[in-house]
Amino acid sequence: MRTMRCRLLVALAALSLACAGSESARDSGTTREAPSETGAEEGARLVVAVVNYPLSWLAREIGGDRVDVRFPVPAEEDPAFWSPGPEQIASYQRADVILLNGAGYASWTDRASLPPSKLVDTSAGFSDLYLPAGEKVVHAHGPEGEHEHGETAFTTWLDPRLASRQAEAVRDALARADASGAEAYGRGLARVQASLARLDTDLEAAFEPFAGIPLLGSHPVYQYLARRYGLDLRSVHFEPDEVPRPDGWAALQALLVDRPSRLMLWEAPPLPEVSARLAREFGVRSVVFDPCGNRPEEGDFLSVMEANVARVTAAVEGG
Amino acid sequence: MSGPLYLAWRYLVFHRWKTVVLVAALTLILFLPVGLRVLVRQGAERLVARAVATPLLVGAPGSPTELVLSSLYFESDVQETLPYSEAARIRDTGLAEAIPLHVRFRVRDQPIVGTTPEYFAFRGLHAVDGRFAAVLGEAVLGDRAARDLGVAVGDHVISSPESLFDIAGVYPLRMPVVGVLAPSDSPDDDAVFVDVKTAWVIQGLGHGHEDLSRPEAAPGVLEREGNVVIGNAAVVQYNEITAENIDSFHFHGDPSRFPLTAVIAVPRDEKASALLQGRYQEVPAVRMVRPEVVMGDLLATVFTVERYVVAGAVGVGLATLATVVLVFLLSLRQRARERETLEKIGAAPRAIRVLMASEAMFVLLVAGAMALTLTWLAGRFGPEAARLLARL
Amino acid sequence: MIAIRDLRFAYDGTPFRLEVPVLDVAARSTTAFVGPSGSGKTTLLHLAAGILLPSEGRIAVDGTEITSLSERARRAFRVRRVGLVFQEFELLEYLSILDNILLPFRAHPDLRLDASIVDRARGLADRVGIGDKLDRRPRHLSQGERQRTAVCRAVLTDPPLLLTDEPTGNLDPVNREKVLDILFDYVHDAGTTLVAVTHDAEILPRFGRVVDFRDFHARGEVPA
Repeated sequence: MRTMRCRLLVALAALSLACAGSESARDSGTTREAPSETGAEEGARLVVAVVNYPLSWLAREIGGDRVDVRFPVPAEEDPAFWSPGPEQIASYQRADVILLNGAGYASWTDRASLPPSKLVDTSAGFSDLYLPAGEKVVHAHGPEGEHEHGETAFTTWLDPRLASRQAEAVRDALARADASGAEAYGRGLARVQASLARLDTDLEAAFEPFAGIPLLGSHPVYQYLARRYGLDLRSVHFEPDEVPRPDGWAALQALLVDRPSRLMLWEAPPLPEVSARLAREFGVRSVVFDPCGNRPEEGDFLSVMEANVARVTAAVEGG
Repeated sequence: MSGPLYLAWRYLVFHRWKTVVLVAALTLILFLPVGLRVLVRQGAERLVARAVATPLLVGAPGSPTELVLSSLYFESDVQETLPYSEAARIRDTGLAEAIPLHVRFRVRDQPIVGTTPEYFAFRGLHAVDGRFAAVLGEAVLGDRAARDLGVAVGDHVISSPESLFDIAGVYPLRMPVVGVLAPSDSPDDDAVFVDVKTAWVIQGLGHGHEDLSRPEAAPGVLEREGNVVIGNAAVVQYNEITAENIDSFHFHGDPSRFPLTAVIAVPRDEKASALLQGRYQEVPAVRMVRPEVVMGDLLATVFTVERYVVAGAVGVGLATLATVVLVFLLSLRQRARERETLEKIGAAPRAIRVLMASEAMFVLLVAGAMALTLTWLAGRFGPEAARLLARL
Repeated sequence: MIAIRDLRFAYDGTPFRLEVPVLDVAARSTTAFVGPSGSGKTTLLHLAAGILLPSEGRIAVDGTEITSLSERARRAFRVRRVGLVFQEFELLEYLSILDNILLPFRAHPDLRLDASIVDRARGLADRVGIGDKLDRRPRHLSQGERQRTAVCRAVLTDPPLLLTDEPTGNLDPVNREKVLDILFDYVHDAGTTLVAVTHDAEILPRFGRVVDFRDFHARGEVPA
């Protein structure tokens, strides 16, 4: 009798542990996705493959439980310049919907064999609003080595209004692939658009003090942000984890000659000696504004953007 | 009754050439009309099956037969191309799936079919070795293509130049074979499948930053790939898309205007099909055909010809049959003395009958059996044989 | 061996008539039928063999009244009990010499071909001097050899009655003697009754009896 009860208790304990385990797995799924998919059958869920993190966030927010979002780019890569191998491309081919950012983002998609019927260019609807990237410069850096920026700027999501239109495109794509979920996707879209509208307001407030003040970008990724909030922003080509070369500093010097700026936006925290030298020699303060192209270590797109808002606001207050 | 049969056998052996000729003649008489019909019907069935499986085909204005032959069977060349944007246009109607096709180049005798991943699901093709193409430049071969070219996963194939004197034109492209498809008993087995963008690269619409011209070694050390001219001192240059240079590959111009030879439209349902066809009736720049109908017309002509040929064969057959019968009768006449001898020595009437009839019986039986066997063989291997003959 | 009574025979549509009121051929005897062409010698041979049926009369061969048998029965009787050597030998050219000798045993279900018969055939062939030619075809043999083959075939069943039509007809003098020697040796050893139709007066002395067909009332010509 005792042993039976013992066994039952053990079984119950094991069962509850298992449940808890899967719960936490699902929770972590919303904030952090495993870089490689397990390939397990997800039942009737729509498989949505994306090329960057903002789209991943949009798809999850709009699609909810009805979608299984696949974003296989490793955390340390820049999705815009990532080159997938055949297995990763195969996983894109197998998806039901492939969300592209558009505007020339992720040129690997041009060279991969992806089924056109599943491809969705989320920014095609506002292609008339594309901005040029600026001067085309070929430079060598990063784990992939040499890359060049194309002729069009592609960080469209940094303008929340454009992100909102991309969200619409996502909703349309999901509804086309899964008509039965149209209502749910509509509700998801409304929520996302509300969040983006709030973000837009916050960003507007944060950048308002900088109207008319020249700003610097460490890298040419803030074009849409600049246009939306009327920033006079020029970029150099600095990397957060590298010390700029002498010609890099020279380029900065040249920029500052006719446009003295006191603030530089960085994609990620720069090296201490770089930010120190910037402050010392050029009087430029560094502020991190994370474009959030890849998944953040913690939080989600909104929280990252809100953190950006906070840092910009602090920079203002700092004088 | 083995006695008379033994005698009959000895007779046949003694006159073996006469027997062989008679058997051959009778076999042909029996087999030709039947075999012809079987071959033609079988061939027609396969052609029709493929045409029926392809609901709608869109191409530039021109011969519908050429369009169908080029797109379904990869024979014949389409004169005019249509822009890639047509595929998107069809897709955007929401009425059908659109699968682009670019069939123009060859790897030796095998057609290069530029298309998108949807094609394989549509045709029910899957890789028995390797995988489908993932990036630009990769090739997936049909079962027969791999065999005829003597390549497997990991090898390379080179596209053949369109003409020998391609001075300013298309350079051969060296493509890695990443997959081989399971046999599908269709023209897909002969094809070299690439992404449509790869076909555009072959056409010269896209290239990488560096010009990879690798001069071949001395004529003695040539690879058995592509149209490499042996013994010729000319240096063959080809493009190759590798992991190192693929990131630099790009296209010049507007891809939506790049050429396709056809677009396969797969409507959602009958109503969508009717709607789509209705819309495309009004468009002059583009033509939509139903392969089933086109092949039906083509086959009607074939069947008419077949009828005449079969009638001819039957006519000849009847004449030959008359000759064969005459030969038997003459034979009997010739054996009159033999019959007499047998009667005189007291042979049983049945034995004599068996002996006399044996020649005709044997010839009939063997010819019948051979005709049946040939008919079965025609049914089983006819298409293969026809293909071999076509190659010659 | 042969007993003929009141025989009357006519070929349809011809004036030929054969009438034999009485004819007896003793067993173990050697008899020659002689007479002018068309006198019915060969016809009587065919009648005695049961190949032809008389319009009237009775023929008994080796005790069996063959005139009362059906055609089928007559054939069965003939293949067993009567050996025939024709004027034209009539070998089958597509058969080997051995197969030609064995022909009766393949031509009638009543005769069973087995190893002993084959041995007997080989023995006969050796005896007549064609033992080394058993695998050849008739066209490779001389006239005389073909004649001897026919003789072997005729006696393979060990028939009590042997009927020959012009046994020496086409042969040169040397072969003629050879064949006759063979025949007479055989019939003597086997006790066979021999009846031969012949035009050759020189061989008559060898026969025990000569029957002249002028004694029978034959009219007209025998159809060819």
